[in-house]
Amino acid sequence: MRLRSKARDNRYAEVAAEYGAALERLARGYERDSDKRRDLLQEIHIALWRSLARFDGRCSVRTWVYRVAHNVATSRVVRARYHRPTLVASDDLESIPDSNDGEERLDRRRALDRLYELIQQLRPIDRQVMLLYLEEVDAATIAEVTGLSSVNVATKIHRIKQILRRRFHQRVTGHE
Amino acid sequence: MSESERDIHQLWNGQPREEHVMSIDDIRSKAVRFERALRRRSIATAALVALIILVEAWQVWRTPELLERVGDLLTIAAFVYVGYRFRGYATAQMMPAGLGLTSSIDFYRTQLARQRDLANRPWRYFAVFIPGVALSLLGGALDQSDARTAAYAAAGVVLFVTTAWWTRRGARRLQDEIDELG
Repeated sequence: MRLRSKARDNRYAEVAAEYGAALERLARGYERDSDKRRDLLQEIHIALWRSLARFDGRCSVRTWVYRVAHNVATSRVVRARYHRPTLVASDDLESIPDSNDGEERLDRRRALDRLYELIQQLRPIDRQVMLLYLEEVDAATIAEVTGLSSVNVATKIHRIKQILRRRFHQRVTGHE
Repeated sequence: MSESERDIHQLWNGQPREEHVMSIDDIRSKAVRFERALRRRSIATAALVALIILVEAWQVWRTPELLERVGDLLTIAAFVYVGYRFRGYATAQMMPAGLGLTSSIDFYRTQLARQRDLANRPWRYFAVFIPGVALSLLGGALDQSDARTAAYAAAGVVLFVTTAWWTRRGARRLQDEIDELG
């Protein structure tokens, strides 16, 4: 029992080292408020640590980590659905006005703010596809994590790329 | 990959870290605290239901009117039933260890379906109280004026119908979202 627990701790330490930064970015995609974001991140890490006791290699560690993280975050979205504005599918994003004020160039901070604003308007599954796309996760893994068909994932990524191209056509410049 | 795509990916991956690092010991203790909090909440809910049942039981013992006594007994039975049903939901809400085995769409569908089921069957939870409350009202009506009894009954019906309508509306919205998931 102690050996299994030690093995889980070691695996968790490896996972946290490899995916820690990605999980932080994922949490930002779900919570703008820094305290809530910290809570969510802690919840994800605890769920990840607990879940690794059941990891049996049926899928890759990456798929496992993203499934756990997105599922924890999604349960928060579902719990908070009555207190938040209506979320939209990526297909409907075009109908929402862009906060672009006509600038030629965007500094990184403002560009990130706009990107998160966009992400947080999306329904959980579309949000997951966008976050995974931004993490440069391949389409096959996105399909595995989300449970969407490959065709569906490809369509959503195509749509996301169009939206990003249209909304971030300015060059992003400068540093934080 | 186009230039703008590269820009976005660089922007995304170049974000500074906030570094909320938790040690394994922190995680273990937080997991234990989380489970304790869930247990405490369950105990508090059970204690509240037990208190309500005790109050009802005291009324059964105290009330001379037979109809009211039967009504109170039926209300106790309704509380036990609803407490049992909600216990199932509370247990299922604990963080499942199998989060990594479930795809996001299945997980999301399950979460929405659970909320829909809770909202979709208000009768399941309210209807069980009707016989007890109706008998208690009837028993009480024997001692009170008709107008007062009618006012209580009307208020009860309005409350019941409004709640049922509101929850069913929420359930329909959840079902629409589930349908959209395919």
